[in-house]
Amino acid sequence: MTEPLGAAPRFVGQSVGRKENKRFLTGRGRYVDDFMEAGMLHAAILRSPLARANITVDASAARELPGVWAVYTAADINDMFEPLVSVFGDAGPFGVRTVLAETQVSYVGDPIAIAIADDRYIAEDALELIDVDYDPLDAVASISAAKSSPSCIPGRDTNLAFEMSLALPGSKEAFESAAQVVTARIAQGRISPSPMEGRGIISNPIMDGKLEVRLSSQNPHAAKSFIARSLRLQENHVRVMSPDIGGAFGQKFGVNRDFLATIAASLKLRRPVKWIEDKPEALQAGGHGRAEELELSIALDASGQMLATHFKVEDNGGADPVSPPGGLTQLMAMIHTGAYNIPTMMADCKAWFTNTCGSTAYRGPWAGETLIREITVDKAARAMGMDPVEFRRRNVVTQWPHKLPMGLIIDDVSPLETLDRAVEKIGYAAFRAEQAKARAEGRYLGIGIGLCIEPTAISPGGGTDTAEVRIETTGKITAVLTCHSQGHSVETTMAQIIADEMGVGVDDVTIAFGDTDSITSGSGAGGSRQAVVAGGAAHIASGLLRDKVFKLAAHFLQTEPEGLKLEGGSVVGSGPSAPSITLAALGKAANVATLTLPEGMEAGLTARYCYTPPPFTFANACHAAIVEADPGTGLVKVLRYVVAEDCGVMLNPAVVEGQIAGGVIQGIGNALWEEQHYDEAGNPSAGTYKDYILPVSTDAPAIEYVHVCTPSKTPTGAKGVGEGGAIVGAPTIFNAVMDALAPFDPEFEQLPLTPSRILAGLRAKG
Amino acid sequence: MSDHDINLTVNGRKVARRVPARRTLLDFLRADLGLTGTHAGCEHGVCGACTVMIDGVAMRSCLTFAVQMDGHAVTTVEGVAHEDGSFHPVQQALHDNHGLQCGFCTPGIVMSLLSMTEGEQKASRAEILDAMSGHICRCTGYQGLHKAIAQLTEANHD
Ligand code: FES
Ligand code: FES
Repeated sequence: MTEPLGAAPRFVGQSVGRKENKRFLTGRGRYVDDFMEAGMLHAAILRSPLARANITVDASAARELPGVWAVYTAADINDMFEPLVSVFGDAGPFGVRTVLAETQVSYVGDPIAIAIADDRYIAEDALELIDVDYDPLDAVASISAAKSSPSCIPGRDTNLAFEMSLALPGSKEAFESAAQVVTARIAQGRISPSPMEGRGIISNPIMDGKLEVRLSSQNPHAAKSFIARSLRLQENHVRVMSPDIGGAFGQKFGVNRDFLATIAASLKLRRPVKWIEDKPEALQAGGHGRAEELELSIALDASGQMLATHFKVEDNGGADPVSPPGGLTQLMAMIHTGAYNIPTMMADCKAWFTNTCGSTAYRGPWAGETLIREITVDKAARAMGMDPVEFRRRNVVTQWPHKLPMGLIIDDVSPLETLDRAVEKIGYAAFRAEQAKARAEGRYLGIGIGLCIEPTAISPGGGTDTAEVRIETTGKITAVLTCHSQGHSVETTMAQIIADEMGVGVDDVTIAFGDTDSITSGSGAGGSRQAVVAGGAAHIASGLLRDKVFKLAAHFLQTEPEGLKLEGGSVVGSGPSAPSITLAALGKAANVATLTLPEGMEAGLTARYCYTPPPFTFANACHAAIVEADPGTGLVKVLRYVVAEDCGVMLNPAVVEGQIAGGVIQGIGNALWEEQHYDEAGNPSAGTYKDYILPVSTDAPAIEYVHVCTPSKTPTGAKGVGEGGAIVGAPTIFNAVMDALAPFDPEFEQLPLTPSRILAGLRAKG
Repeated sequence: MSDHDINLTVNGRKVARRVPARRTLLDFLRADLGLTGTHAGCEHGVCGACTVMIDGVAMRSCLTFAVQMDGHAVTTVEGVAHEDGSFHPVQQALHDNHGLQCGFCTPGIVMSLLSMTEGEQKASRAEILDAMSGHICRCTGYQGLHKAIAQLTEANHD
């Protein structure tokens, strides 16, 4: 049913130019902030400047300002909501569970009041007139403070959010009998996901008790369910439309308290209300990723064979995380042995609530396991006096499928091949000579390797996506899908899949998504799933549609469906006469001239498939980077960057490389610059993007690619590729900096490796 | 707060409006004129998403007040493509080289590239590369941008 007929694919595998570019390049993209509704009002949100305080709020003066329609505080709107849970519907525990802070604020940025006015300028004026009396309390801003302090979140009795310990059989013995145990630690810098488009919403209560929400969201269906559940609305009375999204990187999977406050305001005023996050708000209150402290110990035998690991992670969930903190630490523990033969393991995972901004998903939210593993693997190689590439070769798994210590089975991956190809591409052997020469001249070059198996299209417990493909009266094809795009290019890649299956051009296929009224529930964008899951749905639905097309064509061509082919927009029969009929003729017959259809045949030419993927589809990659580090200034420059990756069948190589590149540069930012740091009083260090350093074009090396292809066992043969770049980027750069500065015996235990941290971490004179 | 009458040219058309003194050019273009192609990124001068051309020079509309535009000519991304809708070479170069993903930073990048590749004094490849560090793109890792710049400066490589 799903095997392509006739000729080999024509579009899948080609770097087809993106269909979405035309509108973006001419200023015709439509992001949430570009929509206006009749009678629309504008919201601004008052946020706490203190990390923890008891508050009393008086908004009376603000309410009197001309142009202000309302100022709502907790007392006005919190009763409209159920206690907040997560967008994923997990069981908890949750931090702050109210929409606006009631008697206590819990972090800098905690929303206190929402002002609604004729325009944003007046709404912000109103915020200035709100009188808040702050009675400061001791803030709990770090994991170590959380451990030694009573609960810092109202309504909770402990700061501990999650705890898991396990020791698999043989692990203790392996550590006791080891010839050598190597331990490394790293604390991540907190990442602000920083999509260029901030979060945004237009909430519009329409007639008949229905609510229309335009939302900058990765997954409008999950948002719809969450909004309905939180507001005690009937789910099919809520419509969520997510138009063009200006980047998301995980941040826009959840529905935050700010959105709910805006919805409440619109319901109370019965007017459309728009709230658009500004960037200081994004940095303080837009959610943070990677706020974790990691430690890994590896037990080794005398030959350098890994015997066991002990993985430890502590996660700082902040005050109002979008999902229960610690949930991902279990996944981290499960997969942290990665591509290496490590028979047994121990793990200790904890998560904490603190008076900091809540955690959110960020590109490869479990990336800490790869970071700490690859750092520790390099350290172990040094401890064994072995080259890090040789050490990896000795320990890498070569027999697949392979069962990880906690039982997860991995297959269809090629870590050794990507390692070999990356090392070859970067010229590893020659580099060592160059490095020695440079050192003699007082220049410190280093090479770093990062090896990773990445779970993609993560869908334990289901995680379906649906494609509905139809032939219009003109013979053109429209497909509605439950995927989404924040730059993922699905309007192009999904059209490629469907065009190949239907024997038409990419331009003959139009892809639609992002409106919960137009299609059943699905999983949207997230967890590197779209090529696999939405792609799988598109592939299978197209096959079903083709069967229907052949059946109808056979009727008109007076032949049997078997042996028909789809080519160039026509169904073509076999034999010397090769009778044919166009899709346009079939579309017209099926949709309009329905009396010409065979008796009993359903009118219309539509096929729909809801695809349930395997729980995991594994991709893998090896990155290699060359950096120059200056022990005088602490500055690091990335000179070369090689990615050898196996994402199975590439739907569109330019799209694949674009996803990798974006991730790698974020990984470099994670390693070298990006950080929202909190002091002990809970004050964030970055108020603007002058303080939170995002990589710019002059920081970005030209990325060199090697593509290895082990197809996945899914309909398209693809694997996810959205997150791997960000996951492997940071450890690759870290290892390269360590290698460059090896003569100075460096020790770094905190990211990012800012110049001051690098200078402080050099322990020898060199 | 005072209101002011301004007369300016936007994408070749004459515009006459009354604006409050504090209204930014960014908000004026987007909300008053409906030219939503110019994007509000950081609104504090760092990201470049709001870049437009004022009298042929790339400027940040988030740091410019509408009232300052009296008597000036503003070009936005909506005014870049050819009459027949086909791409300007700058747009074509970004398209050809996969220089955009989500498209949010793109209008600003188009305007800066335009201001450096049009007119009498064309900037060198090195100058353009350097200047483009004033634009933040969170999606692409700048790979396509670098290639687009190479394509745009091929004729006069240096
Ligand atoms: S929006 Fe103007 S520079 Fe960022
Ligand atoms: S394409 Fe998304 S920010 Fe540049």
